[in-house]
Amino acid sequence: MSASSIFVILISAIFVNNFVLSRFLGICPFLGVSKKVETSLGMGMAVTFVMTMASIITFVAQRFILDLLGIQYMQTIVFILVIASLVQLVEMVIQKTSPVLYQSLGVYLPLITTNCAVLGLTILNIQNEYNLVETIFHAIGAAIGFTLAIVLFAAIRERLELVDIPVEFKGFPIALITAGLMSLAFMGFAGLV
Amino acid sequence: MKLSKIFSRGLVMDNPVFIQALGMCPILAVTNTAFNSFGMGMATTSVLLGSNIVISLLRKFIPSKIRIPCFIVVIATFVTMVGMILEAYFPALNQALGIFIPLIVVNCLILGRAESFASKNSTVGSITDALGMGLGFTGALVLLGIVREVIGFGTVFDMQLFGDSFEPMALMTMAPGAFMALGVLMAVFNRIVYARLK
Amino acid sequence: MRDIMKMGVILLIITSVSGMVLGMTNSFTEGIIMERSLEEVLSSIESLIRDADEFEMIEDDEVLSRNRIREAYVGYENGSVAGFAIKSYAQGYGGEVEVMVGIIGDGTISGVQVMSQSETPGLGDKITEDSFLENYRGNKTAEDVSVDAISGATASSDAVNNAVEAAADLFEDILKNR
Repeated sequence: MSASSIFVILISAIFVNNFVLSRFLGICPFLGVSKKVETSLGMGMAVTFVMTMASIITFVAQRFILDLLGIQYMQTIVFILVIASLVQLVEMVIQKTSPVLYQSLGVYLPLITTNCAVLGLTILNIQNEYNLVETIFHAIGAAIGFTLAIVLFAAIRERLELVDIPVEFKGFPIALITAGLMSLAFMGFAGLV
Repeated sequence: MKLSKIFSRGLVMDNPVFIQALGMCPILAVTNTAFNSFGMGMATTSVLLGSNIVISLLRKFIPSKIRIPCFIVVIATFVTMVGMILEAYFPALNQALGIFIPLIVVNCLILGRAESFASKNSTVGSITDALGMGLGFTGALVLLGIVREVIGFGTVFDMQLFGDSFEPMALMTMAPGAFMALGVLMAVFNRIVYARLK
Repeated sequence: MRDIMKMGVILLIITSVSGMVLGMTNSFTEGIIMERSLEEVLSSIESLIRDADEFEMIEDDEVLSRNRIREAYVGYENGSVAGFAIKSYAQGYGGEVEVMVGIIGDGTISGVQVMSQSETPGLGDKITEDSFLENYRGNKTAEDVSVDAISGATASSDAVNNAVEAAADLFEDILKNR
């Protein structure tokens, strides 16, 4: 493992295999919490935090519990429970220690349990046979990619609000078509890695 | 509520995909061909059916404070079972759907039905609800899969539709095509629903 | 306190029932999955080393610890080595691309088969087509084994090239002298 391979993992997760726009992970919050730049930034921060923590814990759980006992088939259950309890724990800790942070992130935390980007990330980490360092950087890259996509998307949607579009296209349809155009733009990064 | 009404509302008026926009990740990710869409729809329907039955049976036994973790464990169990069965009997489909099989766990549709229907209704009602929602989901997936496969490959369920002069639009099989095709289909569906409401 | 105990016990019951159910399903499907993948590998090596009548898996750390090598098989014809089948892999565009490379005689590639891949449908997955894979046939392991990439699927083609190269190097470095 070298510095360059970590760099490749990072860039690939942010741009080339962007979780939202090319892997289709985390579409629900991407469409649901992207009406305003500010809220989407909050969601991005919360996801970044949970993704990094969840990646580390699931890595340990996989290596030292599932692999050791030979019960890899329990992976899905264990991982989703880890993520759900982690989210709950983070919520409680933030609530006690930093009310300011809780106010800005708190509302997004419960939504993250069912954010498939987090579960998807932890499974991909194992599938790609990453070691701990690579896992952490993959998580950071995925989270930055998610935040980048959702913030850019929110900026576009803020303007879309003011545009006169056919009534059938209002809401999700026009948002999806916009996301399609963004994903087309992100395909331009394909040659990067 | 009548069973027929519970069943039919998942198909059109409360369609999980076109109206509620639930479970968007698999909708976009695995609909590049009609067959993959059908496989994903069936896998999701089986999980939904299983989880709705078990949760409606256990609804008096599960304390409301820990209902969400209980639901998640039940759903994850069915998802893992479906995954094992697919791997054993349908390896090609299993490979095409890949990571989106374990991700059925976080499909909001399933947890949503457990929370808002199965945990409050009888087992028979929950079965009907699961079938209606599951078929509504499968139908929408297959519809999107057909559109993308026809434009992207020039085939439907692997049957060639056009002559050699047809140039498939590969973009439709990739991410941007998925977003745009679903956007347009949703608009068409809205149009139909609006017309009906008037 | 009693409440918490009760909730814990209920959660424990549900989780252990689910664990048991899964364990049972797993023991049932595991055999089928294993058998199927064995069959797949066997039919693949049989078609790559046509002349062989007996196969053996190579369980040698020197071979298996090499970069990009997953499994290796040797095929015998009447007791003498007829060729090798090497399962190797490389990173493609959508994930890992795994191939089986057949090498016969003193280093001629008898064929390449894609065992698993998750490349873009309609573009990258063209690497599974015969029109691409047959270009490897007849290449010599002592020379450059790579072939021209499919246009629009460079990353996927490179993955196959890298995997085949790893197999060819393994043959040149170790297996040739056996």
